[in-house]
Amino acid sequence: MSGQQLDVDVDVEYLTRVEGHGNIVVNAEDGELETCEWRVVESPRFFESMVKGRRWDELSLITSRICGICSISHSLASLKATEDALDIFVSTQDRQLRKLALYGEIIQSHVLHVGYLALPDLVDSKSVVPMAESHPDDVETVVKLHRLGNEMTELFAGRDVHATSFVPGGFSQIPDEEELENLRERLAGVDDDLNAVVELLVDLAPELPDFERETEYVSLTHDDEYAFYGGVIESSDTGKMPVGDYRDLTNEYVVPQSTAKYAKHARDAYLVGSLARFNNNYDQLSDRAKAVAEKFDLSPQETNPYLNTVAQVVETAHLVDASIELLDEILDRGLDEQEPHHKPDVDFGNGGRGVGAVDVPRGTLFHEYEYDENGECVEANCVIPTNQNHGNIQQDMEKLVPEIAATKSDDAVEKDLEMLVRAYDPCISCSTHYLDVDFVNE
Amino acid sequence: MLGVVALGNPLRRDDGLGMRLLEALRERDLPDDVELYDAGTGGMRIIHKLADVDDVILIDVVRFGGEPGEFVWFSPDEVESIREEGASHDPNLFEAIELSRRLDEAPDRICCLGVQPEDLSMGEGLSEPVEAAIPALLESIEAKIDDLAG
Repeated sequence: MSGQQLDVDVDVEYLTRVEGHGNIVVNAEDGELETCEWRVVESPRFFESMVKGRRWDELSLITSRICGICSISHSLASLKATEDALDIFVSTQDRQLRKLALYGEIIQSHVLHVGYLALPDLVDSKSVVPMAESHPDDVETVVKLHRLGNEMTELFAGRDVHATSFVPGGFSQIPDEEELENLRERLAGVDDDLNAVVELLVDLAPELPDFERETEYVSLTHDDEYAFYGGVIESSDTGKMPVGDYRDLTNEYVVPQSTAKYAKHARDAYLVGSLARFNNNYDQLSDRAKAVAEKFDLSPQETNPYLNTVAQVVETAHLVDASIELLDEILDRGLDEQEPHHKPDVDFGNGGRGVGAVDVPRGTLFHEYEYDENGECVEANCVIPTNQNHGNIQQDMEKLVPEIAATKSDDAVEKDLEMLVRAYDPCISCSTHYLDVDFVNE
Repeated sequence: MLGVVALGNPLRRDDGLGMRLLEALRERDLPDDVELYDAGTGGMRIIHKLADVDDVILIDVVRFGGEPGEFVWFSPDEVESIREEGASHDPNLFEAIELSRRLDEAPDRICCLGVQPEDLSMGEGLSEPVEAAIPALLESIEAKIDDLAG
């Protein structure tokens, strides 16, 4: 702080351009940091109680409504938990088709965050809307890429949001080869649009604050691929652990300033999401994705949380390549036809307990269910990525504020803090859609 | 193509009204060029649906100060402000509409149907006054469909 007096007052109520509601409150007077808090104003989630008593084949439909941005992700974590609990077989082809649905969702979510939510900060725009005039070509490219991700999910999940084609054990309906070939062609033709987004962000990346704080990075990891759909838990501090032991990772706890639960493992907080995956699984990125990372001088272990946004762009490039590779595998082998609306024969036995983990746009998502002998859910637990990141956001703020408060204006501190939270792409309370409006002349 | 697009979440009581209305509309004899679409809580994704249709009816739960079950037809241009407190996660249906317009992809006519909710807590099933409003809502939507598709 170079001997300068710490004096700052920041109060951001309802941070914009994040999914949900969070407040930032920072106050320092006479050199003393009195308050520095990331407050999460989340409505309590009752999904766990809502699925109790529901049948094994209903749960993925119900949990897909937890979040509109990550609905495919929730469906898949839910299906995997059910399949684990009741020992339901999923074919290689179905796993590949599910991965394609997930990759589509992550592409659309990453592009949404980078293009619609984070970019406005870098060009000093209040939202993406004015950018349609100030940066028309860039916005058009962003919308085009977002649309591609959206159409991918629609093709594999039956709809672009809240999947209808997924069932335990596989799919009720799958695309035909022609549709897969068309998608492959579109993905192969996306290079110019991807490059345009990369170049735009390369130009703007110097606007991202220079801040370092090493933390524990947590993601899934898999021997054969950059993990999203499956694998085991990887911690940069403690190494691998089985997905079934996820509670030993998350250790959820309650803090006074927030209604959301926080999580911690080897340290006071850990980070999940693109940057954690990048740090843990860098070697398995596609060559193009590594080349994108190089343009930003991004390499593991990256400790600047603001660069999560850059890691999302790197992953977007990887996901395009990984999707093409999967489509080639399916098409070379020939698509196995399958009965529509097939549902597995399930022997409930004495019931069972299972965990499903998927690395989704914002980090590692866990669903855990216990079923009784009738295939009805008796207990459920769901740990979302954003809740795992809240503690890390708090820790970042506590390090960042003393570093910048003495030299920056309150407005500049506020902007840096807002950008920090947005970099995590938090999805705080995205389960409802009512609007509050005032009408003109009322 | 006329899109009838419902937004909301059937696990948040009255927020699921739009989905209930779509179910009922699927049983009705609607013109061929009407597409019924459940947009759930998909946020900005709505811009792609807006780009796909010529005209659109958007159905959502709106807290506009009416009695529960009371409904109002309005155009996005009539919306003065989105109240900050308690507003939706995806700020902004109206931001999506505005972006769609600036990209020159927006439907020609955008008609919003807002229904005042009573209960937005977690759980399934509509509140009594919102449930009771369904026949009148269906009648009003069908009249609007005839108007736009005719």
